[in-house]
Amino acid sequence: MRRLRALGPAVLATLGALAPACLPNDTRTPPGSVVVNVVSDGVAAKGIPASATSDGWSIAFDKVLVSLGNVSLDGDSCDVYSDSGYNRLFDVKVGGTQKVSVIYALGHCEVGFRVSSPNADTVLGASTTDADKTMMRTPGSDAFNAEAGTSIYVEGHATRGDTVESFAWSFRYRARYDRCAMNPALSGSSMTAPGIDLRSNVAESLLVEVSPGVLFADALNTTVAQHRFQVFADADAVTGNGDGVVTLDELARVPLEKAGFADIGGAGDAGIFPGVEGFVGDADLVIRAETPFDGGSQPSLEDYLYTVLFPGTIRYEGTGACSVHLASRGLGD
Amino acid sequence: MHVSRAGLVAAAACVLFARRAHAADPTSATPAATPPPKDASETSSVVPPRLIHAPDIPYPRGAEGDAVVVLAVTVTTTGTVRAVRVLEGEEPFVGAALRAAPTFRFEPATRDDRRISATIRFEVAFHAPPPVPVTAAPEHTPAAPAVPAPAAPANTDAAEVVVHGRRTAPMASSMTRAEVRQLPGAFGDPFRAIEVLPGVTPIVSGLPYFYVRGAPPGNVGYFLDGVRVPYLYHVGLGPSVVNPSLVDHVDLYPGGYPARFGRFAGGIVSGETAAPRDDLHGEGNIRILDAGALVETGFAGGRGTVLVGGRYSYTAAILSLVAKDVALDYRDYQVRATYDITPSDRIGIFGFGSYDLLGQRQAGGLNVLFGSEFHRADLRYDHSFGHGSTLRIATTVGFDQTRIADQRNATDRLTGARLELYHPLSDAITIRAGADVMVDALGTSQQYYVDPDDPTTQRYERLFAPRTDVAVGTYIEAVLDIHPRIELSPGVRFDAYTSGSTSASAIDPRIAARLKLGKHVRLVEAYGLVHQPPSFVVPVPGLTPATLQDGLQRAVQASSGAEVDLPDETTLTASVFHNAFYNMTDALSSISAIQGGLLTGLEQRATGEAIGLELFARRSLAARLGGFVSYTLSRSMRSLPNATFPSAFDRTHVASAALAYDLGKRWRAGARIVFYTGVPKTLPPRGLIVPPPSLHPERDPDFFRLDLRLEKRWLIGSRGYLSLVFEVLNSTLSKETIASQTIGPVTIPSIGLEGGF
Repeated sequence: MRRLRALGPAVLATLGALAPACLPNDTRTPPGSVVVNVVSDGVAAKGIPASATSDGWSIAFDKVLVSLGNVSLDGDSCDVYSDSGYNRLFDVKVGGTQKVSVIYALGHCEVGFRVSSPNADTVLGASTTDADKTMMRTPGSDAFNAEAGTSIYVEGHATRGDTVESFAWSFRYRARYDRCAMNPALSGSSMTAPGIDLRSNVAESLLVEVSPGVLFADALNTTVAQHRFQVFADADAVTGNGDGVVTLDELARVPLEKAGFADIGGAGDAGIFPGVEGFVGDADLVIRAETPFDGGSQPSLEDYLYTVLFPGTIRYEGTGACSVHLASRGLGD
Repeated sequence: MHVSRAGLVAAAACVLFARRAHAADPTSATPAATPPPKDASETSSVVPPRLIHAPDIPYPRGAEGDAVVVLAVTVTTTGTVRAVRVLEGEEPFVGAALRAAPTFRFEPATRDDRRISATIRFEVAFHAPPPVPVTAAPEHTPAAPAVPAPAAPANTDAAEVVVHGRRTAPMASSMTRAEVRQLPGAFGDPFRAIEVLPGVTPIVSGLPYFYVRGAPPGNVGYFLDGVRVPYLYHVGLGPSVVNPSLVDHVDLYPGGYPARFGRFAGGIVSGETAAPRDDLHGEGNIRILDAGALVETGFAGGRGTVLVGGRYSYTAAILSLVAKDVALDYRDYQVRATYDITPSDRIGIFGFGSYDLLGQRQAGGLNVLFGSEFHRADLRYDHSFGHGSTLRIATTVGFDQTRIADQRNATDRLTGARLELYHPLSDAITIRAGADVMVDALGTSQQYYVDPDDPTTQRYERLFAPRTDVAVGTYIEAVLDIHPRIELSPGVRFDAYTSGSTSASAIDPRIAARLKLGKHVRLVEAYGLVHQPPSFVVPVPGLTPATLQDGLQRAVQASSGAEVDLPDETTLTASVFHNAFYNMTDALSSISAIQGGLLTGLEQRATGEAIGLELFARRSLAARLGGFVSYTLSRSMRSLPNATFPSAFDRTHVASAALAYDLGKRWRAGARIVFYTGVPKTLPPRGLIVPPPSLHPERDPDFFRLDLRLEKRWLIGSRGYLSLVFEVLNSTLSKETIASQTIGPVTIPSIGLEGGF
């Protein structure tokens, strides 16, 4: 018993050091939150009247589906408290804002999101159906992707007089938008400073605008762009099979230099494609694309539609800008 | 001529478990001078084994001083030695004693004049020879014959012997503490050492989560003294959560295991703590990252014992020097107390627990990236009926908690009770029966910062919904010596489960057999049906999927093999096995065919099978020159409704070999090589139409590593020692590739100072 008494202090000291361990509570400063919403610019629902096009065609959208999500916050001075690893399928013809996700962080955070084909977990947005999701997940191939799902699906028709041309295009690239920045004209800054400031217990919101009309614009800069359809109609009626359906393959036969884009130079302009900034005239609307497509020596209208106009349909805060990275992993995960 | 000699001065039999407190001081070089009190009704007809022959045991070359080695020796009904286990002692004396022990001959123990098998505590005392000129000294000069133990109870002192009969189950592999100490890369941890055993397939080098005969880590059960333990290792790569000094041995049951083990569809890892001792003794170590110690002593004249142990990591202080934002902490504790109310009745409490934390300092606080803890208190009552029959009634309470992403806690407040009866009906029949109930109150805290629409969040809340799980089970098993050459071990257990509002039940028959073909060859067979409730992919405290409505996991386990005694105390085992898995929540193995990750996989059920060949040649690492070669050739497949494919961690070849050698002057060196085949090179599927996974996919590169260990030991007095140990896991800085991702090199160096008395 003497021995036990002698051990007593050691026993108590050991127990005191080891036993009371319990996982600590969260002692961090409560974060702020940001809700990211998506909104249509209204073109998908209302279409583009003939009066708004340069060539008298009216354009109507029968279905515009966008699979968007995987919102992220990042940055050296950004403390991220949660992530958002899912996406939603949106029917862009639906008016109003729809939630993409909410994410928590503290500090100055750069914002990113992704447009990619749906996966099994994709949440259905308003008026979208499982059939839409299945259609978007069904693998397909084109000149840019093999056996890939669809990130953005655009279906519609254009009319001028008695002539009707329809289109149904699946864009299969996975487009990652990072370092999104406000338009300096709106942010009040002389520079586009990417990111958002999140303060403790303060809820912020951001808007991602979907503008399918960009696909028919002759420039990315909305301040100078005009919509048109004749060049697409000719791709079917003149150089295509004339079946009344404009396909991506038919657009591939149209040299870009004859496509009449306002903000690019002559054919084969090396400034059009990968990683080159300033390929559009207005720096406020720059999409700094890093595409896996090298442009080639004779870029086509399909090239431009698929690698520039398609990512240009997604706008951060309307007139903001993001760095865009296109990848061919379009199956969803 | 120099004559080294060892003197076997005492062979003292004593109680190994229930009656230990009244036995002789095991460290004494002389037997108990005053036999403890006895229960006459229990002991009047029991006569313990008596030593009738012991070989000359050479004093180990290069050794110095006197030493005592204590062995647990199992004596058969014919007086031969069936099993030897080291209880105490240091090299090179342990090796010398182990080499000699199989040749001991006894007059067998008897009960009512009938021969019975018995396990006794056996002391071998070595006395250093006087210094003499070393000229022409033979390497091993026979020592004087061992002196028959004058105090080996040769009369009615049956309180000092308990009919053991608790034989190693067929197909079980066992590692003793003495062996593990010498295993390079194991850092002295018995639980970590199981990775060298055949049938065990690692996931990642250094990470102590294993597949066992095709069963993933989530289907492998861990027990310590019969108490379920949620996990065994600190922060993955860390040491085991139980002080190695407390662990007597660890058994791996890769399949077809005894009916007393249930509720797991893979293998069983069962650790047994060392028997309580009433002499003051202890061990401790100090390493770069942590320090641990254990001390035990007796009280009340030996009727009671108390033990305190633990480990504390000071990684936080070290990490603060190199990575100020990272917080890493782990610690564990063990407390045990026993008290003999009467010579036949003992009460005890065994408490142990562990704590792990990995965090990052952020925003003025701590962001816990991963944290887990568990605590167990096991209150026991042991009763000896005499004639080797024992009863244990125990209650267990515990608390498990895991912190995962986004500060969400998963908790388990568990309460259980169990009854274990061990009863030798006759010399040829022993039964073991028991029953238990376990109640797990599982909880999940609300996530503070979460998008409620996130499918992963919703899936987590479905899978780990707060609820109460109850498991009730009962079993009976027997060991039948139906013939001098045939030992049969049938058993059956019944379990009933409820989880929330769902329930399930299962009957698990088991049978194993050992057939002696000759003096040195035995055939062993083991078959069993096992069931398990839904399980997470790896053992994590508090994380148990709430998917019992989809049924129990189950497996049919079969194995057949042979044990061969080779010269020089070397044994060889060879086995073939076939495990069939049904309705498994095995997301880890099926990750190559599941979209959406592990949580999605937990909502699916898979079938599968594993076949293989295991070879294991072994000479105790505690011997002067010891080592082993372990090899497993296997194929593990999984099937989902539309695909059959190799398990994500199917490794065709897994081999390891170790060598430990006594260099003399108490220097001891060891090396271990590990090799295994790369895993199938598959990526998780994407898209709506998933091409079927290949049956013969390309594989990631094979892996090889070399572990090293060097120890210098100093003796302090008659019982004390101090060791300086250099050890490194993956000294070759080998990198590993998993799913086309290069990992590592995961290299763990360790410099430590160990001591004991």
